[in-house]
Amino acid sequence: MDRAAEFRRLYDTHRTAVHAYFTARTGDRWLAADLMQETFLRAWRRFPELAGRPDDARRAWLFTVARNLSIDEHRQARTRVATDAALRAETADVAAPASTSVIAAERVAVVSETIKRLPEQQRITLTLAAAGGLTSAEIATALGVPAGTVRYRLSLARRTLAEALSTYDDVEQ
Amino acid sequence: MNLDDTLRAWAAHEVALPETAAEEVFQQIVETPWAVSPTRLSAAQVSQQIVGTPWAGSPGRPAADPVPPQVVGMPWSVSPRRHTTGLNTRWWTRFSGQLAATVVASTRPPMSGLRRTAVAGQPS
Repeated sequence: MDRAAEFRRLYDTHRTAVHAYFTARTGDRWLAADLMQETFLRAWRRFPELAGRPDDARRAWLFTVARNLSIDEHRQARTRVATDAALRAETADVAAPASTSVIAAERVAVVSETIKRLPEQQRITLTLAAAGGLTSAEIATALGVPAGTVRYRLSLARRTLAEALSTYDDVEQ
Repeated sequence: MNLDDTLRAWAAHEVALPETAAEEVFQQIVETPWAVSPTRLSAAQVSQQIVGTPWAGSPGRPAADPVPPQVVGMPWSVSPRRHTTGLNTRWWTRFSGQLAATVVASTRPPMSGLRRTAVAGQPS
């Protein structure tokens, strides 16, 4: 297999999770795409070294780079205020999906708003699970935390979301 | 629609990167040479950009480059927002830093002259 084809496999396996991670960190999916590109560009340059490693080790490597990049990004005058502004701006961009009912779209909006207000670690963990498609064990490898911590964060985040949806349902009825 | 369905819909609408954008990112990466940094400009490139910048014109220098200098680093941004604003701020920060360093370096007197002055000023 040539280098590009092998790199394609790495990219296809991990890009969704890496992008989800950056989206959770920055609140902006396009900025997240730029940061994802930078992460995989580094992987491309170091690919001979990465190629022989197992998938878990590759994931850990990619997320270490991703963490460092998001720290750099944060230092580059991207304050929490700016991130929150981006999160709010994203809300305005999102159109209701045509194929779902109004209520379903409203429930998605409730979930979206609630996720933005979650503590950062819970937001990242939940986004990696829901949008990145990772299991608790994979998230633990990616973030370098115990799997129990991941499950705890997920449980807290899901409880908060369930409460928000329940409140919305009560108001609707 | 339960919580998991709602989360799936949220992920699809607010997080997922369109396939075309993901493919564009991939193509840009694999077209990159292994050992050459695509975003870091060499000293020669920076000098060339200074020469080509309209406000840097001086007698004896070539005419200003009609291409705006910020276009040089743009292919590394995939963000449509950045394309619409016309300026990749990440690239600009890096470029303006290098530009400032080059300008400062070019205004410094040559080191050998300084040394000669210092040596000449010392008691023999």
